Amino acid sequence: MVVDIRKSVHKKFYEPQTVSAEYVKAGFREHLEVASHMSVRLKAKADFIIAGASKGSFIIVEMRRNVGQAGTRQILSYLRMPVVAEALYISSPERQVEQSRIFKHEDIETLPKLIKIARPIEISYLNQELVETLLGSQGKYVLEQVLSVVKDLALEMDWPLDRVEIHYVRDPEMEDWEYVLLLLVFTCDFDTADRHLHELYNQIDMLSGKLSDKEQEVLQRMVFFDIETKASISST
Amino acid sequence: MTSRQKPAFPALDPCKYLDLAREIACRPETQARRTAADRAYYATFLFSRDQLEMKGYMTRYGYAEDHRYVTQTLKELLGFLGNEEFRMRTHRNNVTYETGDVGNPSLDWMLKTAEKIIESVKKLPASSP
Repeated sequence: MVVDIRKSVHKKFYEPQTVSAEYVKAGFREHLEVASHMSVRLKAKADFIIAGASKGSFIIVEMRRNVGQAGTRQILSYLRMPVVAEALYISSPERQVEQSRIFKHEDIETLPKLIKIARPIEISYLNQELVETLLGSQGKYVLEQVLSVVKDLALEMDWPLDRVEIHYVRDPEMEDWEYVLLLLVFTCDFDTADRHLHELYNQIDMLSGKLSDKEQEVLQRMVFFDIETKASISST
Repeated sequence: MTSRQKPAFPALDPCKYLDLAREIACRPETQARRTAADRAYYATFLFSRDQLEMKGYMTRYGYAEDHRYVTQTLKELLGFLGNEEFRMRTHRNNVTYETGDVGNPSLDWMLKTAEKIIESVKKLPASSP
């Protein structure tokens, strides 16, 4: 069943309001109930949506779709990057959002759109043309599959993954060795990021088993991973 | 009959580089720690190269290209654990050539990763003809 969320749950708060966590939970429960019927692809496991982006204020609502739970949630630092999706621009908040903070929520109508951008991991190419030339069409498919695994896993495991940078690299020691480096930029300590990379290795190995021999060769010879970490933003 | 001279640098088991790395890793000076990281990488690379050749997985050429063949062969044989050798080499280049501050991975990571890769390579069976 597809429910028109705009008719049933349209509310506007034109001024900044101080609200308790319970108020937010109650206020959004009905939205989430409706949202659970929408024809938007969502994970069955805990997911989260962002609502009410305005001037740096965010409400983060965690949704456990199948059990009907919802609650406010600290904004993860990897959500700090500006996100552009379907012409909807969300500016980066300057600080973490905590329960019972002041929330500003201007247009709940955006909820369906916002659900679709619940995976705000930025993918950026550094010299996309060279990457695509090197990989060819087969390699491009492999890269798409790899990125899909990264994004799905990051969402499922709630990784503090800020962005993925795709680099074309001509090896500094061997000039004729060219490859693609996927640099996963995390907002956490190194050990945590390294653990996530190993979780990714397992999934990539599983992906490899589903690829053709030629595609496996591309994955083995041309695609490499590394991580970079930056300190998380502490709440003030 | 001429008597053989003792070589200036006798033959080496690459794993001895890892022993040396562990030995100097506890010293606080950055030059010692960087050398330890560098030796940890070379223990891994040289041991892997020699073992992969001995077990019939690759041919050793004895020049820089061997880095590429070792990395790719490890990825092929050990799955994405082979990516760790690639990361070690990247970090080794940083600690060796970059004289400014160098961040993570730590020396401890280098030593542990070296051990992990060497143990995995040891367990590889000989390649079937």
